[in-house]
Amino acid sequence: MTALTLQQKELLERHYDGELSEFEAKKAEKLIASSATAREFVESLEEIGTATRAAEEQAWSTANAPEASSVAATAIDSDLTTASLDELAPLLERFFDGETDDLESEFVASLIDSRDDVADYLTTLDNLRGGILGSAEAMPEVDFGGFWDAVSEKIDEATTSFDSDEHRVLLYRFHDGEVTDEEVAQVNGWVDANVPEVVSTLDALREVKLATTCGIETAQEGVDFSSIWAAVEDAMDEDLEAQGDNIVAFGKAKRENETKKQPILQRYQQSIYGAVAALFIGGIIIGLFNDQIFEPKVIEKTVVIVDSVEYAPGSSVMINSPVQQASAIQQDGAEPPAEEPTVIWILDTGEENLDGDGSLEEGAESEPADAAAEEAPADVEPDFGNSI
Amino acid sequence: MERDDLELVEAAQEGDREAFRELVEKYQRKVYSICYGMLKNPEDSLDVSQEVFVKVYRYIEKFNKQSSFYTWLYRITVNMCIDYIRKNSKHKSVEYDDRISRDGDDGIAGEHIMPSKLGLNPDKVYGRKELREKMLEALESLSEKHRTILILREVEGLSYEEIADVLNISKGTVMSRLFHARKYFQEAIEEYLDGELKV
Repeated sequence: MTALTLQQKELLERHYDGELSEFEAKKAEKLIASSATAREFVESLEEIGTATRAAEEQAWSTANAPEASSVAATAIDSDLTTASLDELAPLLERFFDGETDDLESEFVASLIDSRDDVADYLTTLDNLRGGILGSAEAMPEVDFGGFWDAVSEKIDEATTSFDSDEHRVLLYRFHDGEVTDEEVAQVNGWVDANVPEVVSTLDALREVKLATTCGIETAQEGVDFSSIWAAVEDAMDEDLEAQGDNIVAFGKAKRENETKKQPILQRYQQSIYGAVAALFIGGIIIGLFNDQIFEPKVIEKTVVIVDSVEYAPGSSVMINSPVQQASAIQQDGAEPPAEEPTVIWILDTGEENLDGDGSLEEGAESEPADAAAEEAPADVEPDFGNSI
Repeated sequence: MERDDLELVEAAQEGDREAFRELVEKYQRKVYSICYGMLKNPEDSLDVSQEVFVKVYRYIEKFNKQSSFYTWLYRITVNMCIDYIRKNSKHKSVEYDDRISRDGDDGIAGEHIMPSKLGLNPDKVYGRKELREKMLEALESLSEKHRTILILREVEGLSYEEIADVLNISKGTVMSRLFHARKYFQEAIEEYLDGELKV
């Protein structure tokens, strides 16, 4: 087990007392972590601390700390007026320093009146104070003009001086470029001052760097680096073959990711167009084959077979039914009339008000609408009694 | 015009094979150096370097550009070397013995990098091949973790923060490990040069 140096012990004591800077604290923690002796030392410090605190607590718990005001009362009770000067001295000194309460001050005042030794004691104290003040006044004039400069110089000296234990890590960090501007200035200050330890340490660090670089470069001599790219290319080709795709798949995932980032409308644009087109075509087909697609719709139509019809828009229609004619001929016993064109009038629901132009089939005999309107008796309803 | 890493990475992510080739050629020596630092064997180092770039090619889509490309690349390199070491027991025993001999609990007192006394300088070192070979031997005598951290710092020029990121250790550990690595390397150089070569 390695013995601790005086510096290390001091460092650990200050660490225990919480008096270290961050840097020093790390140093101390490192020492504790790495050295069993240091750990033992810290443990002993802790034991001492614990014992001291315990003793102090015990002393306080058993001590009778008298209250100031009780002194005078006790003195009066025990007739301290006759006490010796030694016994009274603490009280008198407190009185002289203005630290007594009213009761004590009153008591001391009565003592001064009654006892010469007490008065003399207080006079001595007063003389002593005067002497001290006088000697202070008698001190020669000091020139503090250069005081701050001297202090400042010493501070700078302490800052710029190189402490091998404290500042070595800073040199390592300086070499590695891990320093602040202030630290750079500090190290440059040492270098400018040609501090031997600083210069040699930085040289050593540069040597290590050179040797490392050189060692690695030596290791690289004769290495065929082209084989690295060849291997990567082989891997790329294998991947492409595995995918069975001649398109360069490299970056495919990237494109997919980008696609995912597009707005929904943009992403599904083609699908949306397709769906709209399908709906349009579907609509046309449904329109064309509506009857076949959906259930047949029953439309009631009345078929009236008539010989002729006379009508006018908005008027009643006069119909001559062939059934009626046939019946009349048979009753008369006469020959049936020569064939005459038969009008088949198909009435759709709600088509009662027909235009004169388009309601009848072409070729059907009909009177001009105006003439029919004139001849047709009013209020005659068409006879649909023989409708089919 | 030479493209920077980010441009190359983005182009590679888009499927630009030439961009990826540029990245490989830019970093192959560095990756090899790290591999060599960890594995100490030229053939193994080259094999693992190849695997590193193949892996990078396959995962480059996942590189999120939050860190620099080389930090990400070095992290993959270190992890693959660690995997390789784990799979090859011969490395285990060598590294274990080496660590015992070099990583003792020395405490702090008196543990400093020695002041320069070897008189190394670029002219001398690069002018003599045998000297360079001794440097390499000295480097190889270090433990894997010390070689790695030295290379990351001295050869690759990574910051403490970047090294911490690559090796997945704290910045404090980086500083401590780097300190020990330098110290041991300096001792090793001295050992290897002593009595054999005069600088």
